[in-house]
Amino acid sequence: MEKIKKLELRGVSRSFGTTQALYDFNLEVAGGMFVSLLGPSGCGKSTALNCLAGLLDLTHGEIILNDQPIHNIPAEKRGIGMVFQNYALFPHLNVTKNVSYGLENYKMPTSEMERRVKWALDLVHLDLKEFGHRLPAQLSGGQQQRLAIARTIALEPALLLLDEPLSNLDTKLRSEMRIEIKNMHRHLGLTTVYVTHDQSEAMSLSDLVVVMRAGRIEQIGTPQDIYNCPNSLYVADFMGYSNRLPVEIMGQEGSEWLVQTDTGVMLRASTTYAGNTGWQKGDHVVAVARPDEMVADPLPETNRLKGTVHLVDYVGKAFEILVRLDNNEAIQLLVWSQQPTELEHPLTFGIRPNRLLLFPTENIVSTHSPKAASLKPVMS
Amino acid sequence: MVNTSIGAGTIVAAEPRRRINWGIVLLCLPALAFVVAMFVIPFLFGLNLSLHPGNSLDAVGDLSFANYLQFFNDPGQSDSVWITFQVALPVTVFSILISIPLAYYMRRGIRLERFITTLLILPLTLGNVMVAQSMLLYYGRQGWFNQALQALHIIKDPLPLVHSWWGVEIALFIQNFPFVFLMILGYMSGISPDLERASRMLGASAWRTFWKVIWPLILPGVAIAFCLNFVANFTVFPSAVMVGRPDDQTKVLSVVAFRAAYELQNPSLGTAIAFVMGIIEFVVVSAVLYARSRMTRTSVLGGGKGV
Amino acid sequence: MATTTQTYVKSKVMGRPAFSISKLAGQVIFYGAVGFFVINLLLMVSTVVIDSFAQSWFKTLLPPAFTTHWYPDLADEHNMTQLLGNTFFVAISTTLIALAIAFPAAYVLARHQFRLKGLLYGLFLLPMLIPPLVYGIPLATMLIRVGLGGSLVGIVLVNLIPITPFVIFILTPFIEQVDPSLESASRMLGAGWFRTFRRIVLPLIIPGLLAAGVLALVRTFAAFELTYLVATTGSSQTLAVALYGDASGAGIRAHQLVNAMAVIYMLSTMSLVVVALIFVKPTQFVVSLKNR
Repeated sequence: MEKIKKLELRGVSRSFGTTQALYDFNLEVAGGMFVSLLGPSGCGKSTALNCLAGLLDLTHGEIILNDQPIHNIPAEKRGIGMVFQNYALFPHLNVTKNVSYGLENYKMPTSEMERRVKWALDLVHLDLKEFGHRLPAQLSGGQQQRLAIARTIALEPALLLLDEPLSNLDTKLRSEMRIEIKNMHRHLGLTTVYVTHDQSEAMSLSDLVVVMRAGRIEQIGTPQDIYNCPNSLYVADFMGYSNRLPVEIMGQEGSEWLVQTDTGVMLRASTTYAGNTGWQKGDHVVAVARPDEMVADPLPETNRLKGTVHLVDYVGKAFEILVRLDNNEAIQLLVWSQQPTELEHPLTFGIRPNRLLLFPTENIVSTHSPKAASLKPVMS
Repeated sequence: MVNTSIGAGTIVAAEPRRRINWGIVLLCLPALAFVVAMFVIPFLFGLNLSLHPGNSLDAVGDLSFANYLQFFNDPGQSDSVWITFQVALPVTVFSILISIPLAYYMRRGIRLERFITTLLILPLTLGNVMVAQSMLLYYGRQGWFNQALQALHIIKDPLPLVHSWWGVEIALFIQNFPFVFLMILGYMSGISPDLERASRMLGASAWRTFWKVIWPLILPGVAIAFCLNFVANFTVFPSAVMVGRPDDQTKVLSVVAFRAAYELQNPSLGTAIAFVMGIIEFVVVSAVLYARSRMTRTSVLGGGKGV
Repeated sequence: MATTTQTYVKSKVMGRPAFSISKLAGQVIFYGAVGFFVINLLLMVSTVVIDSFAQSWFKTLLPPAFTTHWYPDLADEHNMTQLLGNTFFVAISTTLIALAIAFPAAYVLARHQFRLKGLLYGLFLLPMLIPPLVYGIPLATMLIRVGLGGSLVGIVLVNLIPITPFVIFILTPFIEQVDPSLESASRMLGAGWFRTFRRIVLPLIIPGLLAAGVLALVRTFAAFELTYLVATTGSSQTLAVALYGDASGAGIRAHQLVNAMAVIYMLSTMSLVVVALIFVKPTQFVVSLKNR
């Protein structure tokens, strides 16, 4: 198939009855890119993918592939490949037939079909001789996943859509398949759109990450951008900025803000929040930080906090420590050491100002916060 | 299950003996005893009775196939086998053929779904006698149905829709179609919509998706629906009498069996005819189920050659 | 793929009802066909009701004059109290007995794996699959021999044959849905099997018992063949049998009289159906067979 030069979604929206699942979705993808749509369930990422696939009609907007609008072309004629979350393998067809099914739809000559089937199965490391005659039910989860990919790749689609393809696999298989997907993308250079709710998957695979929330795009950027400079509390939370401190603005010094915690500690913080310029002294905002960027050793020059060690949890190579501040506020940090910290001992730790991010106060349900509950006290 | 693991290590491994789980036996006993007493024993009793011709219920004398021979040698009785097929097969095939597209259309749910299924269930709850009774006027020569067709100038003379072969076909359709339809709808909506989406994403049209994906997956269910529907239609009784012509066009096996047992006072012959009916059904159902297993096996193992 | 056995009704991704000729044609054909079936059915039933109030009805759209005298006439001809009493007695006792003997068997089928389970399954399935007339004639003959011919006990007994397995196969999936670990948990918390059954299993199975009970009730109410073979005396007849007797002995009675009986029959069964629909989804009428 024709390689993609540019894929554009312009103002795409979709509603189901009275509920709107996708609002004004705009995205431009260059050929060969790996793009992830990231967000919790119900954020509209699957709706966006299905609109792109042609499985859902658009309520508004257009989809343009190489300057040709494709949103009125039915799914089966768009030449887009899709791997489904539950694989959607045809249970009555064996491995070979599952792969050749699509090729038959395009009326491919037999010799070419045989070549493609073998090529696709080779690519996902499924042995044609051993597995060709098996039914999907006779394959393991990982093999079914490989078959689902092979079936789609065999058509050499211009664009590959992957809908949470790894969510049904166990941890070990998941990281294995993640590497394979990455290799395959590099090898074939297929433009890929990948839907996931797992930020580490999105980070490790993508050239571009689209974070979605309640049917809208929250942030678009490279994995580094989004990781280091989330532009909202929501994205920050999604990227693992699970420590939150309510703070009060005291002033501004260069690019850094001076803020004061409830316990009276002065901290310096930068911000990635785009609309921050209007903050005045006395405004209440939220400071967030990742546990692995809260350090006790070596202690940073500024931004020091004091607390009591409440819980210590060995997570392999490091200790996850829950510290309670004087006002009972809980802070989680990661200590890279083999020496467990004593429970109930005071601990001083800190964070670099550019890793402490400020956002306006906003009510969002954190995906991480109740972590404390899962931390078990260490036996001493 | 849970408590077996506790302290398991301390038990000296003994040769596992097969123990009878008396709890299971006890729980099954009432139902089992009932089915044996009321179904298996009468069945055997009937078999014995049918092999002892005569009006006596004591089944004395030698075993004899005289009842069966009498039935097949009397053209006035044996032609009912053919008549029963003529009554049962068309309506069965028609119900299946109608159900498939309707169920396909409804497979993802539609507006008014609960309302429609409720109305479809109505004839199941009315029972076959009531359905036949209510057909008599409506489909009669002066009934609304014929009146409407005449008013629309579709026909000139009223159609003989009751007291005819048609009457029984209509009665059986009303009575059994909802059952077939809901069964096939069940199979159809059991197919994951992702399979259809996947098929479309692989370039197949809706038509091709139906024949290559949906049809092979519902075929086993269609075979079952066919069997159940055929069995029900094959043993049609009250409607064959009430809205059919039980003396010729709809002289089905059950009518002949009933007449032999009750009107001729010959339960031995009546039972024999009922058994003939059962055996024919058994043969048809076995043939369909055999074909079904062959079909699924070829589609399972025979694939891959065409690649 | 375990997911393929689920029922996917009302998928979220249903496709927008965008206008297109083929979609419109599909809609017209579908609703046309279903509508034709349903309208015929309703009209058919209405003629019965109208006729039962007609003085005479011949070749016209509606009867020229109405009367209510067919109902008192019907009461003169039949002992309606006895008919109704018989019908409800048979339906209710069949249902209760069927529930009582089917429940333990369904529990075993749902919970335990044992040798001969397949055989047991087959044995319970047979009376449902073999049509009543095939075993009905020998069975009725046998009941007459043991002196139960023409008795209500005999009628209840024969109706239990198809109904008991029917109830077993409706109950089994309901019991399977109750997580067995709940029972284990209850026992680990110190409850004996009886207490576990009464406090944990039974409350969770009640929807299933209701569904099975209501369906069995409706089915027995309309059951004809087996009852007809056994109800050889007038005093043991049920409504369905009496209706058949009146209708097939045509010419003797005015059709309005038969239809008046049909209306009584329908009102009784409809009252049951209304109760049924409160508890049961319509498709459950066939679900037992769908689950093999």
